[in-house]
Amino acid sequence: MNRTRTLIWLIPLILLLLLIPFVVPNAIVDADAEEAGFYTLEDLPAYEPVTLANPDPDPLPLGISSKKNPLGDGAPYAPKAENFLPDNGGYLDSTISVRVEERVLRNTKIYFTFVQIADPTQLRAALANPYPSTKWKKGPQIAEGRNTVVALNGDWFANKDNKGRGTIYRNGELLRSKNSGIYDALIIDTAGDFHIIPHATEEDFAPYEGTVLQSYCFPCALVIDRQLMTFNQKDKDTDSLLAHHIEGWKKAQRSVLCQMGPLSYLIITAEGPDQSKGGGLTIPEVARLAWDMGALQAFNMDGGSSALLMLNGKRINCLVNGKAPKNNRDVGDIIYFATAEP
Amino acid sequence: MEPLLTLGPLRVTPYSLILFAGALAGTLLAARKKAVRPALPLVILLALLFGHVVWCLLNDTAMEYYGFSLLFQPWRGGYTLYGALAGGAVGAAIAAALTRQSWLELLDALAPGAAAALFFARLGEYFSGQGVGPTVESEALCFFPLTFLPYGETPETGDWVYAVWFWEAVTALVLLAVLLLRRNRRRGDPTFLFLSVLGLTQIFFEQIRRDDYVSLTGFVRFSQVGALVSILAVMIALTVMRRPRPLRAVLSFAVLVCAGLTVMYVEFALDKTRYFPFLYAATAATAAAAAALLLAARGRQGRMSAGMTALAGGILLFSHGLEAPTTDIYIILYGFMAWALGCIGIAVAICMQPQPKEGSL
Repeated sequence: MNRTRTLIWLIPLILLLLLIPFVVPNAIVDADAEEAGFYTLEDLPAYEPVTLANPDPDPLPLGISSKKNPLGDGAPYAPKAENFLPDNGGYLDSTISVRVEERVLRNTKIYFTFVQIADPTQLRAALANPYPSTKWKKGPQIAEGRNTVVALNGDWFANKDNKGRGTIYRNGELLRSKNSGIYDALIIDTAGDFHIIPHATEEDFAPYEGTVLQSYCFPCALVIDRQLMTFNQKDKDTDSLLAHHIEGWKKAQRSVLCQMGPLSYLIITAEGPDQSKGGGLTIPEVARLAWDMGALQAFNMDGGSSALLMLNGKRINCLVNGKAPKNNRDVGDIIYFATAEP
Repeated sequence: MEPLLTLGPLRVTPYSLILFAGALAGTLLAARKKAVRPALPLVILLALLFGHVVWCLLNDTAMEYYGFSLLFQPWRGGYTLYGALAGGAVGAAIAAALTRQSWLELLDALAPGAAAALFFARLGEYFSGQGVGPTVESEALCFFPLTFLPYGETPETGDWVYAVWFWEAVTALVLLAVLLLRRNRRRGDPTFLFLSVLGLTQIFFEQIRRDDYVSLTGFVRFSQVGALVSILAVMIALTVMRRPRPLRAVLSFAVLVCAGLTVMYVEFALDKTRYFPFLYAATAATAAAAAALLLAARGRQGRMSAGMTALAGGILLFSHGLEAPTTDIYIILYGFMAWALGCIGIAVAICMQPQPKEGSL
């Protein structure tokens, strides 16, 4: 009887212990994991150029946030509620088309937001507080009152850790120009075209003087003139920038702004390990993704918890049970697209 | 991770072997007490089950990708420490009811085994790529055991990262040694010691991790919340069972709340969200509460320790207020966290002490 009682617990115990090596992660060959790469081109949404009903609206006035006029960088026309597509699918009126597509690739939710605008002044920037304030705000707070249709976070130019690096333009106004040559720069000119300059110095901006609407300085450029940037971990400078400034070799949330064509843009917003096990993209991976999407130019914006995608002033990425996470990080500024339809 | 042995679709990796060794060690330690043996299968089974199910529930993207079948495929994903501990506790409760023994005494007997299993599990993280901190910026810090080169990397291909897995393994080993060597005077001491030491160290170490940690929401890691809940449970249990003097009990909980808020605001600060006035207020409140608790518990003998505790908090506030360069700010923030967790440890330790004599606070 004693032996029977002993066997009742001993046999299951032995079986459980022997099972343990086979119920731990990676214990079983996973067919999905054996495939090269984490997506195929068929997994990606297709870029489709849009013809807008009003391709030639009046330009929107540009301005900058100031103490007297904190909303000076807002857009004049509010988006209309009936023009927003269901399920955060985007927005459509005569002067702007926004299409949001979601994909889950290698356990990472990625938003592909295609934007077509009719006038370059519909691509704008908004600051959390008038420059040179380093106080940040939540993205929706920045968007409030500025009539944004779709928005993403900018670079981290207002962060103290940035040490004031870069030549920074917002809505045509030069905010600062110093300590340059370290980060790459994205220049958005008055035609809405992107120009990306690696390790841009003040001299590199000279040819664009008078035509710069926005400029961002951050590691790093991903696609320049349809050329995919490569990142060599053995190169000390590259490694230093990617490893120490943006954890570029690790999987993380990413926020990328691309130009697809004239006044045609793509925002790639990837969630990260905070949202799903093994989630997130490295910088080389998101660069390749932008290139596979057909981007002519692609520039990496601040990622991690700063990665932000908003539609109608509300965050739509990294949601928890359909709501914005309580900890969503403050940012220094946003890039947004507005309507030119009164 | 290269497998050591492949049997069709199954493969035995260094990680899985180490986990097996840990489970075996934990089982043998727990089985020293005869009454515990029949409970072991249920404890291990529910620990595995709860650990994996909680992991699945916290990974909605993985669930969306793999579907409901993920619940039955633990090799695809992972486990959560506090899910496994909760499952083990539930298994122990059921086994205690079936075998008519005290649940708390059963947990006391299981505590050393759990520490041993945890030690091996943390060692195994060297192979699994978990338990790693941020990349090291300075070559002077590139030495083990502070940092290490991830498994499979060379100095040419990899970055040195902080060896969080090793520090956690050492903590588990020290905890195991204390549990084995300490003479436990009262029922519950091993369990309370295990949960409180594990919880306090987990809150700190989890914050440093930069791997596939399980988050509850954004930067809030599930293990940290689990640790906080377990520490709170320990404090409540101690208050009910040991019945400390009312003033001690009140001050202990005050320290727990204030220090908990300090830790929370440190985490916001580390995530670059600035609530510094709240951090300063919480730190000051923690210092006051901890000093008052030490004075209440130790009377005149507590003056030195109360003063040192408050002074440490003041130094941290002063250092942070000076706005030292970026790197130092992070060290100071981690200093805040370690200090606050130490205050919680003091509160728990005081609650665990024998009943004070008449006439003391």
